[in-house]
Amino acid sequence: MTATMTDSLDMRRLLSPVGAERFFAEHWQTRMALLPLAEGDLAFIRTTVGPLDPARLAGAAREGAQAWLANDFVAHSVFPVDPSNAVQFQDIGATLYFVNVPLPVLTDSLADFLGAPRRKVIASLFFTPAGGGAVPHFDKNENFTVQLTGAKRWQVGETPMVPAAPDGYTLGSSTITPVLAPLLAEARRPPERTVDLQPGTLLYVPRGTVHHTGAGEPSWSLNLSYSPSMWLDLLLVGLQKRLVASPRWRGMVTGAGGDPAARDANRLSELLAELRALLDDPAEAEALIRSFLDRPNG
Amino acid sequence: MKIILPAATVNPVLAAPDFEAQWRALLKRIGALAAYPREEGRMQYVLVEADLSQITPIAEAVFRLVGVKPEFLPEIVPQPYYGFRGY
Repeated sequence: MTATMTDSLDMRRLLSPVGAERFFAEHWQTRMALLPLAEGDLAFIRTTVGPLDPARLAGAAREGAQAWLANDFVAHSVFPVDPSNAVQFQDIGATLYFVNVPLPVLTDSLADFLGAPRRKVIASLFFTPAGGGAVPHFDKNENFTVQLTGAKRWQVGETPMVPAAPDGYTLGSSTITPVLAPLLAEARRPPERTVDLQPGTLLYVPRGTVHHTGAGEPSWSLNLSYSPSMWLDLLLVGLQKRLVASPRWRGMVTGAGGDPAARDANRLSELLAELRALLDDPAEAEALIRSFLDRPNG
Repeated sequence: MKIILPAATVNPVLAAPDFEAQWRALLKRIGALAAYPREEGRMQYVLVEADLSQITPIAEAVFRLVGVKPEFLPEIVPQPYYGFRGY
């Protein structure tokens, strides 16, 4: 691997072993991808992340930090972590998960490359002790994992068990969200591939893809994840935002059956015509996307 | 911590006449502040205040007696409890 001077995260360059076009055609949301990083890119990512100090990262994590502990005597347990106890949890063999560490140089680059809302892409860090790992599960996020130090073995489904999964799920758990239940009932677990992540490898895992991990040695990894921002959300949220301005669309549903006089007050056909006209207008469609992507808290 | 006790057919210790005494002795040994049995005692919620380094030893003591791994649920501790030391 040749060293490259790097001062930003160029996703097109990171994906060059497969090519950006092929990535979107063959991998995006459908199939895992394993990519070696150039030395310069790994060095840039490590520098951007900064010292892998649990206390510092616990203080920086916007959505908090967690310790996962499971061993011969302790069933999987999740503890909240703060800067004062992060190292202690590391010392007792817990996996540490620092959620949403602000690393805009990395997350904004990925969001801009994907054409995704920046607020939907976050960076999180994992410390996995020797012997630690994760049980089989799938996530609701599109995940890009960069191995920073140590090594970790992943078993990853060749394809998603639930394509474009709207929620995450731990296999064997009785906790299944209502939206996931019908999709899971029809799902079959695809064959898995063993992937050994070494420092400087990038692994893309589409949401809905079953994976489990194990570390033979202490390991730090960076996870860049794109949390759900589905076309469905655009339709539900964006279109609602657009139509709520219309008194006609805010009107009460009337005349779905009922008295003939009430049926005369049924405006559905006019509303659907209005909706068709709106969706057929390219400028309106663009505005719909823009208003959805620019929502501050979406 | 949450402990789901196995059936006595799985672990005969639970059917022993002195199990209650053994259980109480265990709670004392691990420094339990309180125990809340649920579902006719099959599920036990035990409140402990332990140094992090004692989590696994406490779990091991439980495991040695009843043969199941306890799950630690720090989030069930009422918030004000965290502040007691500071009063």
